[in-house]
Amino acid sequence: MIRKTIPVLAVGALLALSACGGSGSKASADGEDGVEMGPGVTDKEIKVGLLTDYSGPIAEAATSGSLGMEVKFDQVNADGGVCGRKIVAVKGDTKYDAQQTVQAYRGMAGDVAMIGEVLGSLSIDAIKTNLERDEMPAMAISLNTTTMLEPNVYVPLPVFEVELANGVSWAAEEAGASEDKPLKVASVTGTDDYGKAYASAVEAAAEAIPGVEVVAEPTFALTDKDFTAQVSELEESGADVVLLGTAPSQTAGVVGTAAQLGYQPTWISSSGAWFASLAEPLDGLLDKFYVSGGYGTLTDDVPGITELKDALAEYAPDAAPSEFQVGGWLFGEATVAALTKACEDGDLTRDGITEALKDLTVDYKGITPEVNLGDGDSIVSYSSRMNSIGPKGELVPMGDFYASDAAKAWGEANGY
Amino acid sequence: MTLFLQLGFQGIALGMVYALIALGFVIMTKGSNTFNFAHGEFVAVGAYVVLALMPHLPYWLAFLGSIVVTVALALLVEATLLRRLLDKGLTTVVLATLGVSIMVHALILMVWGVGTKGSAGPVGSGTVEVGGVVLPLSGIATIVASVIVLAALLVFFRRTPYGLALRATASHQEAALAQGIDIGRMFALSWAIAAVLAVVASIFLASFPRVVSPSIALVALAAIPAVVIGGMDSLIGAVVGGLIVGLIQVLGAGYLADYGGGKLHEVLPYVLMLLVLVVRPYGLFGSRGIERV
Repeated sequence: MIRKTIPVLAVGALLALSACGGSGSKASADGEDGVEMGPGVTDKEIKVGLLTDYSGPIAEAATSGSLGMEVKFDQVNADGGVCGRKIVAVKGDTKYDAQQTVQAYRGMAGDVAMIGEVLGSLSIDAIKTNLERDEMPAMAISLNTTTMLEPNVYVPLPVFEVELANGVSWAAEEAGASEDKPLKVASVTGTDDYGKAYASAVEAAAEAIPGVEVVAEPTFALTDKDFTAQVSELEESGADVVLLGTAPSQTAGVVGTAAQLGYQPTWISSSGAWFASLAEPLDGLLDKFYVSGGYGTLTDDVPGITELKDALAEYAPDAAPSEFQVGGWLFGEATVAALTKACEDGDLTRDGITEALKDLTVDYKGITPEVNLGDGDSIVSYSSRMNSIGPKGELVPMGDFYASDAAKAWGEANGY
Repeated sequence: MTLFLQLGFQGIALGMVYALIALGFVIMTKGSNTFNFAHGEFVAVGAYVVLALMPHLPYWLAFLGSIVVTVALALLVEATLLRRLLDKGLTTVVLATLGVSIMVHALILMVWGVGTKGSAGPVGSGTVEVGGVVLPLSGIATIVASVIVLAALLVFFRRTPYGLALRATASHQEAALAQGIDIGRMFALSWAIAAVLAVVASIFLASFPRVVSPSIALVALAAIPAVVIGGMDSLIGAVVGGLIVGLIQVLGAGYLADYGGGKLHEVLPYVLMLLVLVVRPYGLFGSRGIERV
């Protein structure tokens, strides 16, 4: 009898737990200060999930970004936290793999108030239904319009498409392009939906600028180890400027192969395509390489960067400088702003944080122009800035942030 | 035509790298009846050690140093773990190699971190031009070195006592034992040779413009279709399989980019692998009846 009863009870308990919802999205209680609290929130702390690649193929950039967020939390916690609660980062290693992302998300879903960052479009795809089902507010550090349009997902910085469109505009100005003096541009992007979005933005920007023509759009598979075919197509097209919608390892492959084949166009990449460590293997090949970045660099003399540097010196003194720390810091700013507003509204449940994210204005203290998150399905800013590459691979600003007409026209045409 | 020759050269160079990795898989399979999923990590270790030694030693010494380290690692794994598991069945051994793969990967992250490093190739970014086709020195070095290594392997297996003993062990372990061959030593020898091949492959896999990063081990596993296509117990098959995969990937990227969303060249090696498994399960050059995992 007992043998039969125990399994039945166990199954019953499991079913009951399942019915309650593993992530506890609806569970809430009032705190001592009267603030309504949801999962991951107590009177003393607010847990924020960080889903990023800590040991996979893009861990170099991802760990730097995560560190930027964590030191932001440390800084805020040292000043008393958000309405008296410490922000606690709950880290999940996605290894930039869909299955690992799902496991990492499931491991933290019932225990966090929001996801402060999800890295990788692949990862967002893997958990987007979970985010919607759990009513989990999340911010995607994959800066593109495809992830921006997913339910509950916010992108608090200019997307890569904006960076590339502004890059086309900058190149046209530099070349003095006109109907009489045409400029041939090309893009290199992945075969996935994100690559198509990047290529589409370059096309739209070129269409909006007189004299600019897209002459080639080679693509690469994410597993490609040789880029001779893509570079040959670029060279054959006679493109003067090539826009890179690549990851850093592919950037090295494309630019290096082009150098070997004797093809030397002007390269313009999005901020996600460059990492400082590429300066060593690409030494001598970066004179005409530029990065269109949606946010500032560690060399900027603005209050936000000063705060970031102080926080790094205090909480991560051994960390090597990385521009991705700046990106992570900005995500930290947006997270803190959302939690602060939710707390001021008296609602730290997931619904309350989601409400706080809507129309949230985030002041990035000069690192990039202030943004408004709107309804989460809009581009928050059309501003970016051109950078050249310094001797150690660092970004060297070449001017001010600007929002090109071409980028705005592309955004308006697509309803962003 | 120039484009075809350009892509063909690059495809052969990449294919030879796959061939070197595939040869490692095949020699371990023949010598110790094991499919080692940690082989990709041995390739990664080879590249990282070369890169670590390059600033301090002449390149050839850095290369030799890497061989010493990688062979020592392979022998350690073979002696302390796998040889003790051989009587537990093939599945247990293969799962153990998966565990070793995870451990070695973690070790690499602990020692060298998650970052992208420089290139570890023996030649830089230089090129020579022949009839309008640009030949990167890294590609030429890959092909020349691979041919030399393959020739050396053939001589070893056909002309030396150890090579003959290894072939006898691969052919029939009990019979080899009856002839006085030390089977354990042959297992170790096959792992050591595979480790040497891993280091040779690693320096070309990480030649300009490719760089050393933790994901290099995953790239190495792309040689698995080459092993299956060629035949798991065939040295010639590994070379042919490697060349087929390399040529499909590079020529496909050039000529099939407009089909299948530009991903056809990525999938085709695996489609061919499945076709071979269905039509000729022992591979194009493999022996009928070999056990697969």
